[in-house]
Amino acid sequence: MTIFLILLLLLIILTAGAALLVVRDPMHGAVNLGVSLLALSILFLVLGAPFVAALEVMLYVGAILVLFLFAIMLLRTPLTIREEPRWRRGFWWPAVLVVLLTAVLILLFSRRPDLMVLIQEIGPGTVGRALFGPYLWLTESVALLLFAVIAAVLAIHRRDDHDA
Amino acid sequence: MMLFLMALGMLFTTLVLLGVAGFLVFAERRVLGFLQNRLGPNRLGPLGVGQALADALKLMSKENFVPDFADPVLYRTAPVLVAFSALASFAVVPLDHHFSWAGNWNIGLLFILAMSSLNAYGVFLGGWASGNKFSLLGAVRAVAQLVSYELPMGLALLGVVLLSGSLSLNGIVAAQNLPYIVLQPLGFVIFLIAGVAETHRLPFDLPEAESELVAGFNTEYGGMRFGYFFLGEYLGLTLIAVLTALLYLGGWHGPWLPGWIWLLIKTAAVIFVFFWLRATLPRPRYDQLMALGWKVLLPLALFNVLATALAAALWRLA
Repeated sequence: MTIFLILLLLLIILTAGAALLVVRDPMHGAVNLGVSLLALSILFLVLGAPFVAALEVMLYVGAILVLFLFAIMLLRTPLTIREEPRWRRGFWWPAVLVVLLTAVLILLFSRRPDLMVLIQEIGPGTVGRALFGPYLWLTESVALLLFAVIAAVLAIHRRDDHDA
Repeated sequence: MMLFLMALGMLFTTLVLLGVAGFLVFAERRVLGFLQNRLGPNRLGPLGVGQALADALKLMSKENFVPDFADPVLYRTAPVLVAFSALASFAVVPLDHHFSWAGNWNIGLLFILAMSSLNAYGVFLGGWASGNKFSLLGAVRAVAQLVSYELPMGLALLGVVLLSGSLSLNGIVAAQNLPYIVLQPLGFVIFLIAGVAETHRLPFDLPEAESELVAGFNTEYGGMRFGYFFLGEYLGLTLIAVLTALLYLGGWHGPWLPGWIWLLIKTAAVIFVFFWLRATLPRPRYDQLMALGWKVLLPLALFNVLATALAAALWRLA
């Protein structure tokens, strides 16, 4: 049962990802990306990582994709050129890729049925202890990186202020 | 059999929540009426309760059309997304210690935040797909506002999580010997303000500001699709109120009465505060709203997290 669910999710992720490449309207592309990310988060949930699943929706769908949407809206194409042939020639490459990837994944899972048994849920507490225990230096360096980004944003913003 | 019972239970929960949302629309009009020294809708049924039903029937009987210039698929999807995300959030909300769908889920609070980001998508896609400049402006405002206020809200919640050591709503309520409004007064205020902004209720209803944007993101919507947006808004309001009651006001803890009645009373009180705010405060300018979110609430929320962490560490040492 689990393996079918996982395969279905993989199929959705890949199809949505492929569709992102072929749709002409950038907003439809963003929606496809959102679907792909949502399916990915459900996949995390099925694989026993609810914390990562929630963060996936909150950060990737809720924050990063929103930035894409903003960019798309600011560079908006007129709403009228929407009708386009769905099955354009460009679609075939991603489609072949999707089929191939799915075949690979089926093989991977069918060879190792024990993979399914090993799934155990990792709660937020365990993740937190790992992040602030053995991976503390990595976590802190990411924090430093983010701090640098904030400083850079502030610096750019301030320069704009002087010009104006 | 088990599955059938579960499906029945879910249907019942959904219907009750929809009923609550419908009733809140009426309650708001009535409360606003009294706050503004007039009566409000009082003709249908006792005290005018039938007004909620009449409104629902009116919305359902209206024509469901898609404007020619709209993006048909997204235009149809958006309202459903709004209502769905608001309804799904209630799965992790417990009414009592043993009475919830997933109140013990160890990422309950994160799940609600995740659903609220999906809610933003519904609003945004609805506004974009309408193909109308007022809708688009409303959608841009909505997204910017929701993103800006999700941060302080999450950080305010972090204070509660730090104190209770749990992300499940059951765990958080169980940890409150003292309601967290006493230990987290700053967090409470930040959460409430961010909550008003997240549900884009007045005074922060800039995404649908009537005096500037016709009706904002839902200008082109009518009939039951508009009804979904409406339901989503009132469900969101209920959700924020229940969360405030659970996280800061001690949830179902209280003397004499059964727990769930206490929770309902606290929720109703918070909802009344929302109505009260609407009747009292004028709408700010958009840049003022953004400045409040980024320059006031965010630093305050960060300070709150820091102070809570320090206090908790010192408490543990002592």
